[in-house]
Amino acid sequence: MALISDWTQLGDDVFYRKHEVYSMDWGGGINLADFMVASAPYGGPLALTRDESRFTKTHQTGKPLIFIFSSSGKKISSFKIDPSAVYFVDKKWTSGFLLTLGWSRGEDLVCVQEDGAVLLYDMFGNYQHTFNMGQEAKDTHIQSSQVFTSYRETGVAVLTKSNRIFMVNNIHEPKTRKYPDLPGGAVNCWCVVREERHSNVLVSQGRDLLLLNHIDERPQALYPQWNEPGGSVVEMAVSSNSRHIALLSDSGKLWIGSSDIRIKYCEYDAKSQVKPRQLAWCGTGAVVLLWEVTLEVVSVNGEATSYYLDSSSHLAQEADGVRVVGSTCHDLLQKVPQVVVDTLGIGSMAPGALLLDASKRFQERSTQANDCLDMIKDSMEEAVNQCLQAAQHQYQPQAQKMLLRAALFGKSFIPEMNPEPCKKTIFTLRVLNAVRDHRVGLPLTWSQMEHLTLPVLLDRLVHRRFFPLALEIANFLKIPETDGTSRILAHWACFKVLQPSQKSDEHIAKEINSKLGYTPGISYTDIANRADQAGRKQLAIKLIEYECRAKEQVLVLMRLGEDQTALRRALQSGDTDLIYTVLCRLRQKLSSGDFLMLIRNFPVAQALHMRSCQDLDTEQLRDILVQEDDFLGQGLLRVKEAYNSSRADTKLAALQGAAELFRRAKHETHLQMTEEQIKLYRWQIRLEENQQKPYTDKSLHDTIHHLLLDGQIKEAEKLRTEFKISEKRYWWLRVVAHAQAGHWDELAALAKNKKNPIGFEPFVEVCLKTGNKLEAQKYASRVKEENKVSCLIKCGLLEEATKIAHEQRSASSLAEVLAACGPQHQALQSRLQQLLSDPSLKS
Amino acid sequence: MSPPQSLGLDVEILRRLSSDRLVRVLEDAPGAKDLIIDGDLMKMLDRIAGATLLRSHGVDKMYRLERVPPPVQSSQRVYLVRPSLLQLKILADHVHSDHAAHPDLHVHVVVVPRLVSWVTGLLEEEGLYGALTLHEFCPDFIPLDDDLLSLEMTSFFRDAFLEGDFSGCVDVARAINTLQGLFGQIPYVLAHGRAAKAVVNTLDLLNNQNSPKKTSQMPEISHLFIFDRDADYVTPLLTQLTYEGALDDHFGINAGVVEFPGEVVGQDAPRKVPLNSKDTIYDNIRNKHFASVSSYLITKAKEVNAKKEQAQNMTASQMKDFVANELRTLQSCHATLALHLRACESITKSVKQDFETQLTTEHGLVTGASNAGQARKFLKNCLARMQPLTDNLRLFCLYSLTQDGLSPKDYKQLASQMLAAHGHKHLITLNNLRQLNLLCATESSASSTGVNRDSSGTNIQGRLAQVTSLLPKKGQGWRAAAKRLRLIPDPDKTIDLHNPSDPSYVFNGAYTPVMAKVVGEALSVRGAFTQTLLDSLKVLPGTTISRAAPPGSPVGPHVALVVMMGGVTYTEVAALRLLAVTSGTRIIVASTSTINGDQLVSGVVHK
Repeated sequence: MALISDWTQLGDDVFYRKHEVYSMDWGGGINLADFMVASAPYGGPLALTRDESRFTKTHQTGKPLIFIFSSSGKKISSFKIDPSAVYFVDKKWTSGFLLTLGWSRGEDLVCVQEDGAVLLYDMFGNYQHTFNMGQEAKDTHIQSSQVFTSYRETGVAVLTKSNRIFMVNNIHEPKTRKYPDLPGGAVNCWCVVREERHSNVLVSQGRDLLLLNHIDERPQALYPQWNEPGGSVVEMAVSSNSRHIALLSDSGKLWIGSSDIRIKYCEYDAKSQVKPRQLAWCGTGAVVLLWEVTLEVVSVNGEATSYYLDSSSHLAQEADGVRVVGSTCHDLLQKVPQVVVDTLGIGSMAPGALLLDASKRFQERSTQANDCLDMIKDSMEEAVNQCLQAAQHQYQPQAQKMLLRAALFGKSFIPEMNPEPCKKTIFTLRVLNAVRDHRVGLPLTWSQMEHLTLPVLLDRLVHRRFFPLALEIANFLKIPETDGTSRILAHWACFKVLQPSQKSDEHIAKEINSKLGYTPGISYTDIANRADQAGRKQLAIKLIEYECRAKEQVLVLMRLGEDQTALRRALQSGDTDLIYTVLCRLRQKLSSGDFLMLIRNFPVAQALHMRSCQDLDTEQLRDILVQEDDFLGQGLLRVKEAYNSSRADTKLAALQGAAELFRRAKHETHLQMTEEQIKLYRWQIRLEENQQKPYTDKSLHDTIHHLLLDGQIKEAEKLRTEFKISEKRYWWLRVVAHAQAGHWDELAALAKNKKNPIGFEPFVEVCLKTGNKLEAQKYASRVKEENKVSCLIKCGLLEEATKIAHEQRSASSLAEVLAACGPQHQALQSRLQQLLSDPSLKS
Repeated sequence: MSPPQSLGLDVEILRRLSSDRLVRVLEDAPGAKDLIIDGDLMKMLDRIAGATLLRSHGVDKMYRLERVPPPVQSSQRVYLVRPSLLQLKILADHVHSDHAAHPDLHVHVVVVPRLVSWVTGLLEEEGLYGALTLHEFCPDFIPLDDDLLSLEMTSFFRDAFLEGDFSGCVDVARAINTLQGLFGQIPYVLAHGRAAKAVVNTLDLLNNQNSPKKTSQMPEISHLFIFDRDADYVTPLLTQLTYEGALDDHFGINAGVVEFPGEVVGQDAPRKVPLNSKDTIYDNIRNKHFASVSSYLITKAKEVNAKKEQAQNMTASQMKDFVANELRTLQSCHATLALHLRACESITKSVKQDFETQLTTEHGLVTGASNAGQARKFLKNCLARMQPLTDNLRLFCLYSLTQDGLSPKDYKQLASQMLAAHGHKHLITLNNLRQLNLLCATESSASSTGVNRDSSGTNIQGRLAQVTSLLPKKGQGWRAAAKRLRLIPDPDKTIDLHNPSDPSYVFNGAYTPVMAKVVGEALSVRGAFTQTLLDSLKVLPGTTISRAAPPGSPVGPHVALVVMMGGVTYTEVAALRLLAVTSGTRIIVASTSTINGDQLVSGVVHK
């Protein structure tokens, strides 16, 4: 069967398969032996640079050229390590010798130089950032280094030429840790062993194997159980999950065991004195030794097999296998998962295998299908699941289809089976097949995909600029917009603005907007910021136009220096706080004159600014008013100041100033009134001086009122004539004041005056107000006819009221009196009722 | 006159939202703390969260924010302030002085409704950055009743219409947005005026930011009306004649609570009484014309007494039953009746002597029945008699408005007397009123008055006027508007004040508040607003925005939300309540605050 032709048995029921995933797009011209190669896990990109250590250093240019390829050998980029980045770190020209290449978890290329500088580039050769491994590493230089996966991050460990080990556990937060000193002598080989959250270093030196951790002060010697002790370890490899380790001795013995060296799984004699080019783990079940063109696979139970390769190759260790990159093809070597063995293995009687058989027979229209089905009718569900899982682990779409068909065939016999697993398998396989395409070059296996998760896969696609594919996948899997489509589009837009283009900025902005629209989760602010960072300010301005959150938009516009536009947008938003923010910033930035001229064009902004000036800065407010030739406003401001000042002379001066301004504003009413005020104020000052009583800050009426209260009738008269107070008003003032002061004689004298313009009702009213009914009664009879009854009632003169009402023959007046009668007026009440019964009354 | 049906809308949930938000802010300062509150926010806080709630979240003592800092007792102190310069300066002084003596004191500042950037800037300038933790608390509409919501932004009218600061509109828009979040997108929108426009614009922005899911929700409110106060200045200037309005005019209702003086409650100390529909007696009289309230109360009192008398003839078991069930309610009924009777009495007693003249003058001015000379005479009389400033200003403004502006001579004379009576510093007040178009002197010769000089555009006042309200165009004065909108009912038609059917009953049939008229017209037609209505709105200052739901989309039940920018009077509320009954619509009135004529005018008086 074709499906199992590439299987090799290693032990009981354990198979390994090696199949080609890509034939390399780079053609056959590359001899990997000449290159230093770094491959990223999860089917990540390959970085190649000429391995200078293999050549004499005569023609070294100082700037190593690095090529980045996808797993399918498609060139992604090539670039030279830019020494200016290093210069930035060290403040002086150094061009370090490139020692190691590695990949971070975020698929950034990590380059370690001899002088301890670590540079990070993305896969397109864009410089990201840099750090160094400390002064000592720089001074003594590094002899070798390793890029490793630490707890949730990527770390770098270096071994200096003075045999000291330094480590950075997280390249994004570089904090150098020093490890215990090694004794003198050459180091054969070393590696980093991750243990939970910290990383230990295993060093082979001479015949010793030493474990270093950053807590202990001394290295700890370890003693693996060799069959023939005495050799020294020349090569070691840790499995991807850091649980297992393989040690190769100088005599060609391979020791495989747990990473703490306590448990030995097996020892295998490779029968070779030559050090292999590479030692790597294939998943967790086998160790792979790579010689020039031979690949030897040793399983943990000591079984071994060999493959012969076409060319010198490179091993890329994965969590569930190992990729073998050669100059023409790229193979994947992995242990065949048990479920695949069960389903596809020769002679297997597992339910899955039988179901697959049944399905094939069914398609051949053979009745034998029925027989097969009969055998598994009790374990149909298991059979379906086995077929599904087997399909998951197939790389070839043909094989996947065959197994899926079988699974669906089996599923049709189980009415209530949950369709989700089937659906998930089919959908995910489609996605996997799409990203495995050599144009994309992500040879992910099912379990890698499970581990990586879908959002990360999308991120990686976006990172590789496969925006359309990422979009298709997001749509196909119906991922919520904020996680899927809009995020991808936003990334696309950010990428788009960085690309040099012939098109106008406006055109690009429109293009981006037409693709992105106003999908929730897309921030035009981010895109504009990106454009700005790339030095494309105009594009950024165009882009920020599309931002619908006014606040973000305005803030970015301000940062871009587009203050007028920012102000306009802030005004449109109607958010006062935002307008204030812009104004505040403009005030700091512009000269006072320019600022005022600018906001002139924006009435709302000007109004707001004037408002804030009213509280905080009257001088600025005056400046504005002067600028606008607004004499009225200046005058009013002056008036306000006048009433705020406590000193008489400043107040007077302010008022005079105001009057002048009102004159210039041709505002007669205000002018006249201000002049009146000045006149009154002068009077009041004079009065104060004469009488030692406060008169200022009183109104004209109050002043007269107080004068009258004090009996200063003459002064009051003077004021009255001076300010032309009408008779009526003056009478009112007098009546009120006399009554309040209890000057009943004066009141009586006033009442005798024949020219009474206000009648006697006010007299009654004020007397009653002060509670003097007796005085009130004096005037009650003199009020106008129509008010007489009610006045008399108020004065308590009910008898008289009755009399008048009767004389007036008014029913309503009589009723009014009746209503005012209390229990003590029994007699009057009955009389009133009698009077009211008179039919001749006017109603 | 309760709304026809409650229609399932529970506005009480708004209070819970606000109080939850407040609690969250308070819990940002876990543990015991003292609360120091801006006097302006006291009433609002009372409505949102009671003392028990505050205590259960660690509030130990509460103080009003005053110049002298209260003694430090807890290790934490929470200030609740409006972003006003004066209050913040006081706060900064507190922190400075307390810091010297109690360096461990942790200070939290909660800014209501929004933490604006200048506040941060100011505190930074004061050297307090980092010394205190800043928070913001944005309250939603506070339900004063099941049909009356308020944001208690008392300074909104002055800020927006006088000073051109429309920041409050954002808060109103947010509050409406919360309502839409709860009750669905409102399909029909009619907004008129500058502030209203700002609200609609902000609302659109907020909608854009919201997820589109909301639109599919079946709307529970069908109509949204937003008006600016300057669309109808006449209503607040007129003396209020409904019972609730009269209470507001005489005792002042703040955030739905009235403080009766001792003589009314029959005790020595004044007492705060909440006024809302939970009090059934009050619910029955609140919207009645004042004239018919006492008779109603007396009848009720008699009924109660009759019931009590019945009790005297009861058998022992009946009596037991009576005591257990009815007696308590009867007694509380009795107490309430007595309280309102005394309040009525107090109002009747205290009304100005010439209350009748006042009313006749006001209504004469509005209907145009009496001539202007009489009104002027009365106003001069009032000035001579030194009536309170606000009363005089109210009458002055009403006089000016209804005459479509005064002749310069008239204006000068009256203004001069006004200043003579109340002091010349009110020159500023008069200027403010002119800026608001509450006062208006018609154009004379070359001596332009500034406010109406629109041609040159260099004049700041004129420009400010452009910002704050659109200048009235010639021939579009108040009288023309009143005629166009038919605000003045036919004088021959009699209005039954006791069982009213027309909203104009609130002013003895002399005038219909604009809101009641427009909302009534709009609700009389199902579906979109008619062009006639939109055209007639053109006579009011400002522009109109109208939205209609696309045909076929769900409209929901007949529920209208009426928002008044710059304060709503209880008279208008009463008119709308009547409208609710006559049009079979549930009407919810919302506003930046409740207002009466005195508050309107004194808000712009120069202090």
